[in-house]
Amino acid sequence: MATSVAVYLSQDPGLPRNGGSWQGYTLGGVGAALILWLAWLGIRKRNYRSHRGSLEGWASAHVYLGLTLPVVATLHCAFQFGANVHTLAYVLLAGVVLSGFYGLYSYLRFPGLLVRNRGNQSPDQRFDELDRIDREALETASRCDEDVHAVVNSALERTALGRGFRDQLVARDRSRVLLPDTGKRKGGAAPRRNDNQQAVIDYLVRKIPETSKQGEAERLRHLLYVFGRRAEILQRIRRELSLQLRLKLWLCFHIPLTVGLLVALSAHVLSVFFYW
Amino acid sequence: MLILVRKIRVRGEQVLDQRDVELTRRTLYTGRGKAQHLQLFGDGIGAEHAWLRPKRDGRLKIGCLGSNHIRLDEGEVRRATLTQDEWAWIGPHRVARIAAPPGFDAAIEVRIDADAVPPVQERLRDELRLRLPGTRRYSYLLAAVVAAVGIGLPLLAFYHEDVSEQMARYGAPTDQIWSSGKLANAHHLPSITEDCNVCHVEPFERVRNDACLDCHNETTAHFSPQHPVVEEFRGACRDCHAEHNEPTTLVMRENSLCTDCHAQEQERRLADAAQVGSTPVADAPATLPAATALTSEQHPRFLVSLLRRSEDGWRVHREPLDDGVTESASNLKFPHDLHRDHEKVSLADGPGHEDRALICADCHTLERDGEHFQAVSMEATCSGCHSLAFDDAMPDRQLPHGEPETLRTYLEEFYVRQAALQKRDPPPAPARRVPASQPENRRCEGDPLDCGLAWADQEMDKLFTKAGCVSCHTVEQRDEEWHVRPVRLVSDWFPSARFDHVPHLEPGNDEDDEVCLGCHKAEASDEAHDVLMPGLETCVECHGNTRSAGVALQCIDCHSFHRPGMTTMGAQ
Repeated sequence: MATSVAVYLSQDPGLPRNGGSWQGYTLGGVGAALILWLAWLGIRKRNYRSHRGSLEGWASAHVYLGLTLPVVATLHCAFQFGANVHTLAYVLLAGVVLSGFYGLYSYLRFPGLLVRNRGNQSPDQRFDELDRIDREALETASRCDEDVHAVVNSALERTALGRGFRDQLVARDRSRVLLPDTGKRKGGAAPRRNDNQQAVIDYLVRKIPETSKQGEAERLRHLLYVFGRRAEILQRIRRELSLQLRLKLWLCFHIPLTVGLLVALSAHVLSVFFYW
Repeated sequence: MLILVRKIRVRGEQVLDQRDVELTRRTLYTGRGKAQHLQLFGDGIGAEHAWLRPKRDGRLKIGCLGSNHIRLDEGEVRRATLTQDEWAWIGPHRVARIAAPPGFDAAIEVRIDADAVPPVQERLRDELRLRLPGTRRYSYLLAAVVAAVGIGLPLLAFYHEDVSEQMARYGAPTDQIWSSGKLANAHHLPSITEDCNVCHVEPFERVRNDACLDCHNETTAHFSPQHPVVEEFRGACRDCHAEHNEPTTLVMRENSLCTDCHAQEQERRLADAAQVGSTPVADAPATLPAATALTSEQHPRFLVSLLRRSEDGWRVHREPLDDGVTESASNLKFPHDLHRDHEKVSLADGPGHEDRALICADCHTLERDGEHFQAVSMEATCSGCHSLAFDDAMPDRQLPHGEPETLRTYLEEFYVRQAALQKRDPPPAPARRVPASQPENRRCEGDPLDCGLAWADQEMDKLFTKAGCVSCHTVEQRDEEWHVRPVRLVSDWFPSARFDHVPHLEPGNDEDDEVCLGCHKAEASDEAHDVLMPGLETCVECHGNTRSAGVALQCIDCHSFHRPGMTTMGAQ
């Protein structure tokens, strides 16, 4: 960076500093080489047989050299911006670097949150537990009232973790449950929202004082415990998905912007020499 | 329509349990999705798999959504109408219309394969997949857009002018977006701003001089076509003129552009010596010393243009300015020091004003170019103080300021008339006259014509020998006639350089000529032939090439590449 600044300042003050001086071409050449090398990481990391430095070394160099790129590019263009293809390349470069910064932040922040969210339980262990309590819920429900059995069945079947990108990003719960038709709802029974298993829990709570069957209240209370635990597990799974998504989301910007930058860089170089 | 949906979980032929659900609607939707009325899991079941519509005639109509299908005994179909108790397979499960119990309009039985319900991780497999936007798709999309906008459309505009006009009309990007910056103000003409190809004629080729000369053919060159360095100097306009910069700057100011050649001593040809207007140059130093910077040691001494009269007329002589040695030859007499001496020369600005000393601006008026001064003349400059009255009896009569011949004619006419009037009305004789003294009132004793001519002769002699013309002019007598040597003042002492007086004048002190005298040593000059132009040493007191040396100046701040009076660039 210091060398780039020195080269930039060495431009004769007789003309506004610009990318067309020998210093400007030099900085531009260095910037283009940096972009190509930094983009090469995408190929290098898939080349498992390569012995050209460790992948950790490449990633580290990618970060540090990436940090210098905005400086080199800004000095190359000498702070001259306009509505043209050259500034488009600069804007895309800025987007790549900013998304890279966010990626760096993601890698520093989210892994810790992921570990904390797992709570000493691997994802497989968590799903095994979910399977176990689902079977426990089904088994308990099969000994309950028919309505309870149907509601529990429905709550299990219609459990959702997230339908799309936004659901996963904010860990939105789109679970549903088909409650018995009370006759109050137009159109009869229909799947209802069951955020955080709350609808089924509310149903069970309402059901306990109504029951007169022997042992039914005890089974319902057990079901309440099961769905409480189930809600917590599902919440952690959704949070896991959200953190995983946020950990990788920056790449969705970084990579397309990089590809766009490579094309814009080609257009920039082509246009400069086309209209030399 | 009130429909009963009976769900029976089976394992093989064994019934595990049964649940009934009531729905009031005409059509039920089934599939893997959470929002389906009849949610089923298993291989081959889509998220929104099919719709089921019980008909009033007792049949069940089924239609598949998307690319899904159901299976009947005769094979896979996408649509089917089942009779009562006729089964259709949706994945591993079966569905059929059954007889509706009392109170229901229709009933559907679903036999759910209990073993088809996968573990939760598999059941939620889709949802556990991260819904990240597809980087590849967006990469291709962005690359395509950038390629189209940054390369495709500009190339199209370049090769098809008519298409380019259409594109510009609809605001589509053309090759204009390849411009790296705004054009200089002088080039902000529609014919240039709207068409890059006016200057950029050939792709991948730098702008040629021809493109510039299309408009700038008459721009003057730096030296004559015969100059020996013409062949070596194959400079292009773009070497000194850079476009598309911000802030817009057309002229490059690097000293190296000049010193690349002028760091070495250069041969000078008379044709390349700067002229003063149309006056030919008679002589100039044969070489131009090396110049590398604006310092006393690295810049040549100033070359001053002097006018000298020869048999062929006025000629310019370019000589190094040597303080106290170099002399001009205007054929005038003028002591600056006398005019600056308040005890001897003073001026009142009007009635009631106190007398004051003359200041430079009383005689020298700056031209609008800020560099040169209006020509000093008897009529415009001197006559305010110096009257051309010649007869004390008639102080309003002024001599004409012109050729001696004109003057003599004027005097003869005047004195012949005076003599004639005297003859008609003789004045009283003076009581007494001092012998040998000049008569104050001439008396004509003979013919008025002879008297008048004699008196005119006497006045001419007086004007050319004692006071009058001879006070300011160099005069001579040839063939018994008085002559005034031709006068011409130098209008441009340094035609190779430019100088703006305005920034050098102290603001608010325009009447104080101390600032003038700081450079022009008029107070010490007692002869008109003194050259009062400041030398290089005066300039470098305040100026240098860098700010550390004072007010920074580059070569082109004082010297123009395109020199007035030189042949055109087109002739090079």
